Amino acid sequence: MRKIFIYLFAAFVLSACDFLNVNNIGKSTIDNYFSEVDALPPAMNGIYNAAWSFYDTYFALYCESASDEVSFADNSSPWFRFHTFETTSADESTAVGYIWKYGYNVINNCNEVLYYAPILLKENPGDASSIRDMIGQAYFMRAMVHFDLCRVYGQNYSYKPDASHQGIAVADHIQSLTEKISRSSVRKVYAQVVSDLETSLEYFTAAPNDCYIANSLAAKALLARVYLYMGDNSKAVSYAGEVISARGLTPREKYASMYTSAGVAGEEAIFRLHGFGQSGAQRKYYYYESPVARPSAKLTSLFTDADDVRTDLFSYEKGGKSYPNVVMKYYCTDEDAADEQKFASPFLLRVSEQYLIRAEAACRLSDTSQAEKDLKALKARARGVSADAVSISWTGTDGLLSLIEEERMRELCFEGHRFFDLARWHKDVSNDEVNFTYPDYRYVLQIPYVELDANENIKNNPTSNQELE
Amino acid sequence: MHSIVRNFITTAALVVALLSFPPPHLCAESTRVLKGVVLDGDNLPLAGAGVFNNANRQAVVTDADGAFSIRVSASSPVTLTFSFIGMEEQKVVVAPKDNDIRVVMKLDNQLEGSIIVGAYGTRQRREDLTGSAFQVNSDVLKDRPKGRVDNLLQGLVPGLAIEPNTDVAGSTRTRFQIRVRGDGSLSASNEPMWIIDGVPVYTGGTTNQMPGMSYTVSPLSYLDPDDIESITVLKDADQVTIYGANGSNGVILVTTKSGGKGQPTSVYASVRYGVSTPDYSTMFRTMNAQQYMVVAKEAWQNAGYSLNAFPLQDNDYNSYSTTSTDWAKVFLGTGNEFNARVGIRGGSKDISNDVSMSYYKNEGIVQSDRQQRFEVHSKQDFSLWKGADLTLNMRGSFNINDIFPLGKSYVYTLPVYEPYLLDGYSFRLYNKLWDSTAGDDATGGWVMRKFWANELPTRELNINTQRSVVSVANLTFNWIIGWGFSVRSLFGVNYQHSHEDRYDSRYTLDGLDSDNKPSGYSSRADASYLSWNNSNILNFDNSFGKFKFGLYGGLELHHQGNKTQSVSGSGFTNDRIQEIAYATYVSQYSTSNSTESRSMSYFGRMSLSYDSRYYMSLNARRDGNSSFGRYSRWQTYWSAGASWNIHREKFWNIDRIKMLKLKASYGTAGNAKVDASSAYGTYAYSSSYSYRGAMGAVVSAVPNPGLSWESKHIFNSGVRVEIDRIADVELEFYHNRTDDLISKMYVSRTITENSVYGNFGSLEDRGVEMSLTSYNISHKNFRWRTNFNIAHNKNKILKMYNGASRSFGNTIWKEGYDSGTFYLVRWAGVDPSDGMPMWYDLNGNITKTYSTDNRVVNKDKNSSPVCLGGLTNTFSMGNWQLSFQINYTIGGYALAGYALNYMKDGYAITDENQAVELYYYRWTTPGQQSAFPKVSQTSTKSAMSSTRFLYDKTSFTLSNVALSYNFPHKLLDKARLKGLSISLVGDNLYLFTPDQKKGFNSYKTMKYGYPVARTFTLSADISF
Repeated sequence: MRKIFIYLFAAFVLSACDFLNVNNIGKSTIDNYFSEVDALPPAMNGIYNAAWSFYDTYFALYCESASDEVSFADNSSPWFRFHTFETTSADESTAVGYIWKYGYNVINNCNEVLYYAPILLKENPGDASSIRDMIGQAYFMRAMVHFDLCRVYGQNYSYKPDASHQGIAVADHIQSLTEKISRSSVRKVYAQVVSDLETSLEYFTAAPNDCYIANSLAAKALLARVYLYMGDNSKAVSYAGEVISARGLTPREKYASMYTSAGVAGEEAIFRLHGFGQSGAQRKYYYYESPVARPSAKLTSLFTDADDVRTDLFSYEKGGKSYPNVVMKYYCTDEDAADEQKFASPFLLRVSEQYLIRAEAACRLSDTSQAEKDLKALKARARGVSADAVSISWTGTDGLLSLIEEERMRELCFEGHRFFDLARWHKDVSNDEVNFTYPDYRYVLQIPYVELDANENIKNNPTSNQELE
Repeated sequence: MHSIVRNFITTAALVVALLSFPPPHLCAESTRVLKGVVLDGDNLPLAGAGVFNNANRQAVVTDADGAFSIRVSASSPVTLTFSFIGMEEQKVVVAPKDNDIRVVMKLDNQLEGSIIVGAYGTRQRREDLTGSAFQVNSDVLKDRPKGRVDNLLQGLVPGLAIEPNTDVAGSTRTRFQIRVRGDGSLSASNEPMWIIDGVPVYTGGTTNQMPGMSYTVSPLSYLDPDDIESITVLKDADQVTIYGANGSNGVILVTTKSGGKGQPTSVYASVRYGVSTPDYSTMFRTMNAQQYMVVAKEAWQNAGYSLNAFPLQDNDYNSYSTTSTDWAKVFLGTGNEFNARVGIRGGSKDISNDVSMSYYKNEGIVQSDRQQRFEVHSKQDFSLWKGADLTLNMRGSFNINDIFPLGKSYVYTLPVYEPYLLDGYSFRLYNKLWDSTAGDDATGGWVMRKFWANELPTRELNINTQRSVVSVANLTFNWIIGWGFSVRSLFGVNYQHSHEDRYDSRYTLDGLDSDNKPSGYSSRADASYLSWNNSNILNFDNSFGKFKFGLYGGLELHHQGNKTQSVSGSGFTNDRIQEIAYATYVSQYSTSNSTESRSMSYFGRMSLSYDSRYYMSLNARRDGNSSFGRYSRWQTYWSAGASWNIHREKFWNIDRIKMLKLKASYGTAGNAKVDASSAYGTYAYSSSYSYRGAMGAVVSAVPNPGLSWESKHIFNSGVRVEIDRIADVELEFYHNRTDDLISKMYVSRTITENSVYGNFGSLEDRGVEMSLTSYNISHKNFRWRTNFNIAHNKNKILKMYNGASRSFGNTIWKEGYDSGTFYLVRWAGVDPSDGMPMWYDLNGNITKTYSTDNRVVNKDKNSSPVCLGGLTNTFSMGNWQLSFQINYTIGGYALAGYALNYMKDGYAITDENQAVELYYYRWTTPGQQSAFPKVSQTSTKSAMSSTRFLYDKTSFTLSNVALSYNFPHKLLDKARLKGLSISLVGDNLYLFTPDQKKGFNSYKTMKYGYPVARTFTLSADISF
């Protein structure tokens, strides 16, 4: 009997060797998650979901609150301080901190997909087409968010002659916890953006028909915009031209509905973020009954044409009551739809902008006839007449550029463009609360203190004009 | 374990159990009468002592002179057992020639715990102890409530604080949090480890929550406390380092009773029946119907609204002016408790047995909330060969918990609502109110509002039951090999399977679908928790002259795994069929999850002593845990302790002082109770990250492969003095420091938007504990003993990541401060001129604007008490014994939930009832000094968190009063019983706080989520 017990004892001791390697089945550790191809579509959905938080909740509203297109109805709103340019690094829990946080959140999720998808591509050659397309989408999203972060926290491209001023931190790989990356120059950031967009074009396999996910046409449209911001006008013209030939403008009679009808994409949509199941911050901000901000007088005075379809989006009538001077681009007015079907999907890229890009780039290249043609096309669509019936007059390239500036305001108002246009053109900021001249430290946001505390390699932006380089 | 092995062992155990009860001895030997006298420690005759002859099973008692005569064998030596309550049992071997023997009985040190249970089955004599261990024995636990094991220790163990997890009503099975010597960690669990008969028991996650179940029922309520022989709390490095990563928060060892080999067979039984009533003086007081209407209407008008718009106007559906409901009486009432236990114990030379069964039922003061427990316990001890024995200890219980989780509604539901419709018996699901913005032209109309606060239909129609099968079993092998070597091997299993049935009836609000049509909602959840443990120890004990040397080393393996699953569905045609198979297909939703973790450890202890005067001990343990990343999986702990028994020195000549011992220890321990996935990084997959209605997945935690254990340094020193028959005092001083605190900190946002778990920061606890037992009167006929303990702990955060503070709204973690420090705006009272609330801003100036920017770190106001403990007095006279216990807490502050929620000065008063003080003390006229501002339906911000709602936690509870009578041997012999005692016990009789005020609120009414249940129990313990 003694022997039995001794053997049992020994058996227990010897079997202990491999004991601690526990197979955590069912746990969603990152390695485990990406072990199968089916992991990729939800990961992509997560990226778009994260992009929604970035764009709808913070990015676009920052740009609009800072611009001269709005005048505030509710001065107690946290956005008012962006209108008066009083924010500092301490405003971590506002757009100052959250644009940075949510922007890098999208980028980090893209990096995870870009790390694991190639591995899955090698292991699953049968799914190559869909995996490659998703890789393309991830490159696109990474590029787009880097570009937008750089516009918010870095001065415009031509601030310094070789764009050597501080941009943002370029995150092109998954970092370890101890890595403390620093801010790259704007030049490097834009180079990374262009490179990522060109890589994405190599990966896209699907035809660009689904405007709610990134696609090859979106990559070209974004390249056009990026080159415009960089001042590389010929490339801007060429990419804008490619997009315009591939897709037309939404006709006048369908214009309003591409904003106010849920699920209607619109002919000219290139890339939109789908709003189903998302909480709409822009929707709340512009809510017609009690908006935070309304169109400014400066903007509404630009609409001199009575039959300009775009003015339809500045008022609303419901139940016999009329709500004048509100923004209706982010509210679904479908009467019969169920609550969850009444969502708005913000535009990130559309063909109208491409016309304006080409017009501006062509003008700067002294090709005024191309610029005039593009301007007329937009005005014609707005008024519902043919391009020949539209007549415009200007004096000198500056005159044409200011016509383009006005058309940009009319067409792209409330879509996150105006403030960055002012920066790009080195124009003074003058809204109904403050005025300041270019250059100024307030064209960019300061880096939130949580980031400055956590990473000493990241330097803040100047906090006053004395510190401007 | 394989089912085959299990079956074999069960059968073997049953067979052995049946064979081991020895047959009665039927023998006609020649006999004689032996005479003798029994004396006590003072050489006075001891009357009523029992004398028992094992051989012929005859028992007699001594008379008033201490004399006895008993029949014994004339030819062979016989062993007589002498016993008396409060004295050590003695066995005397009487030779055939002996007569007129004299037996001196000694006071039983066992009551004071001279043998203390130690780690891994070792036993330590109190005299040899170098560490800090406190033991509570079964005689003290005998008259305590039988519902659960964890709150038995309240007020008995110095340094042990037991509190309910929350002061909010919402669960009748509140989780208790137990702290041994303060909080040692900020984010890892602070709960001690529970070990029952050598088997670590799973008591839930980091805050004692049981995964997989909607309502947590602590597994410590699945063990019958009657079965407990002793509970030992191990507190310092010398005692807990041997448990390594699990020991840093203290270890609680529970040892159950067992039979002895060679003991006569005895049967024992106990029955208890108790009645409990709510102590309404501890219930939060809100206004009655008449007071409410006055205050609500005033608040309504003060907000600028007209009385025509007041919502609570009489109509055909609700008659507010004539309704007056006491909601507490609807839900609270008398409860009762019943416990019955029967067991048989005995043994032969080679086998001992202890088999028992018990049944426990408790119907609480919250009506329709019920707990039932059936438990079977079987313990067999086999002698295999010389020096070796095998113990099989199996316990199983089946528990049924019918839960009614009464929420705060019994406090806040308006007294002008009633639970029934106007017909008096149908449940009221809606109330009809006037809404001045309703109607076609928004001038006002009647609306039907869902009456969510009425929990009566939930109680009567819904089902919420948890059934759990729990088993704790172990197989232990001990073998004394010889030459000082011995081996001990234990294999233990703790398996629990819980099944939860919930059903929301079609006729309650929870059972309506989104179109308000009756639908019914059913959910079933299953969880199984399996942990097994194996430890193998080789021991060496020997003495060389005056040196005693002991050494043991061992290997331990531990596995803990949970599997949970649940399924739910809605849409039933009637309430009778509640199974998911019959739910509408579209609504069926199910989920499952599992976790697993393992640990492996090597440990050893060496102890050396000289002449029972100088002691030294060393412990070491190396732990590996699968939860931590590959690079930091292993950690080593060590400790050293020493003590000096001064009373054994030659120079010590004060006889009165029986023991004077100094001791000190220092060592390290760890804490492995953290979220296991932290090291690996996780992806979260959920509909919260959806896009276009399809599920999305995002990075939720970034991996930190360097994540490692917290490490705790524990220093303890103490002195123990025992003055013969006067007092025993033990004083300990400790200083614990936890480094590498696992806490969340921010890394660069370019890496992750969330905070990451890393090892940063450190925290310390220092304190003093004293326990005192004084023998005030020790007379033959009357004895009075007092046990008193007091503990003071000071907690301080030493270092935080980057020196940054972390605020949680009302509390803050800040370097140099207690971890429970409050961070609140300072309340400045009410302005007598207009009744508006006032606060202090950062500079100390009065301001009428509330802003969280004015929050101040309240250095002296934190949640840690200044001291806490208990006082127990025991009186014994003859066969009667009376004891009463007072638990106390002095100091410390609480941000009382009831005050925060229900002293809102009329804010939203048409939704919820508020404190009764508003009726009497609200500001009404200019110039009136008042503690309560002007009431108003709209917010004046007076209800925002501030120091206004901080209450001193000082309280005294008369927690246990027990009167018991032990029947004398003379009467027992006539009935052929070995022992019979009857007790009358009162629990939670009175709670006192210095600020209490009859009829009004104070900390007394806000301490607990439900009123205290006063219980009176009558119990009888019999042994045959």
